[in-house]
Amino acid sequence: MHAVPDLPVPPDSSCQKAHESLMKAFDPSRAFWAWVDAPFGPVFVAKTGKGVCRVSFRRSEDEFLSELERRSLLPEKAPEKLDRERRELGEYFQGKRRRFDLPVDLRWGTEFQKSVLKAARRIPFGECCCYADVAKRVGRPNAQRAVGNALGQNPVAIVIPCHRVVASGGGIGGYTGGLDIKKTLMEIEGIEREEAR
Amino acid sequence: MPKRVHFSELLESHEKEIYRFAYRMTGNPEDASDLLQDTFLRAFKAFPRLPESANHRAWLYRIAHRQALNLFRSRRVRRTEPLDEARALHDSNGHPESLEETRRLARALGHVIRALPLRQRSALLLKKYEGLSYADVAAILGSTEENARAHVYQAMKKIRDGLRPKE
Repeated sequence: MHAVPDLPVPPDSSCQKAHESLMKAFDPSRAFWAWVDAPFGPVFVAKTGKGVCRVSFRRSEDEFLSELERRSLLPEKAPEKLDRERRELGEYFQGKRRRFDLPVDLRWGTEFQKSVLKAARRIPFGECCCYADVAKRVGRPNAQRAVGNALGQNPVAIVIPCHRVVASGGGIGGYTGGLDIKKTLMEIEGIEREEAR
Repeated sequence: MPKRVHFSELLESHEKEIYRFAYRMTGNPEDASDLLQDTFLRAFKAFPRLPESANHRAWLYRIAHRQALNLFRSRRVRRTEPLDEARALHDSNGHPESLEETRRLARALGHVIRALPLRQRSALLLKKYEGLSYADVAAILGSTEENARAHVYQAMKKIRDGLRPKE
């Protein structure tokens, strides 16, 4: 006897129910993502139930998804669930938006990183401040280098405007996404720095 | 550079078959749903450490098999079903000519399969119903290929005996 008779397959209704339960179990790890056009190419954006958790550029879709997986997130392409994020970012790139009203999910950072990013978020559109100013604002006036590192690991670039933090003395400082992108963002906001020209 | 396989793709490609396996292992949708969740949540945690070259399908079945053993050990699920129940279901006129008879046979077979020891049950489902190779079945069970063949052989023999009408 080599062949076996057919076995019943699970009914569609139970498959659907099991799928829904599975997705619910994954809820804390789910990240919906989409992309939006920017002057420098596509910007990928992902959000969890808590808020925007990743803004990425100069990455392929494959690299972006790997970034999310490294954070133990389950990516799910769902542009319809990121209408607000896509609209606000799109308006910003067109120079029509000065601030983002988006919640962010910074759960992966250390307390220090979070405090630096929160301080950076308070820098108004079109203005900039230097690393030393941010260090003072987070109560660590001598931690300029650590501030630079924390900003360099900003998971939600643009939404948290780390590009508004510049070097003292006229330089534009560094930018993980590439200095040309920092310059473009500064141009969008009309920020003038000697080095940005 | 080859494209990396993402977990969401594994989920999309294999969720249905893992659920089918779980359903046939446990015999009811609630336990199958639990087993599906246990499998994919565990797989999700382990996925970042999985080598790119891994056989993702066999890997998921290995987790499902182990989770099934845990589920049965935790006594949440009845381990096996008495063979007599299967015989009672099967003992009618013996020939699966009508749709009802086909269903009766399938139910009887389901009962016989759930009366099998867990490793034989897994081996049979994986080889005969999910179409995995003996090498994969062996890897999933953590045994030799010879041992996997023996499990399938024993399971088939018990099915043959279990479905034979009482004389």
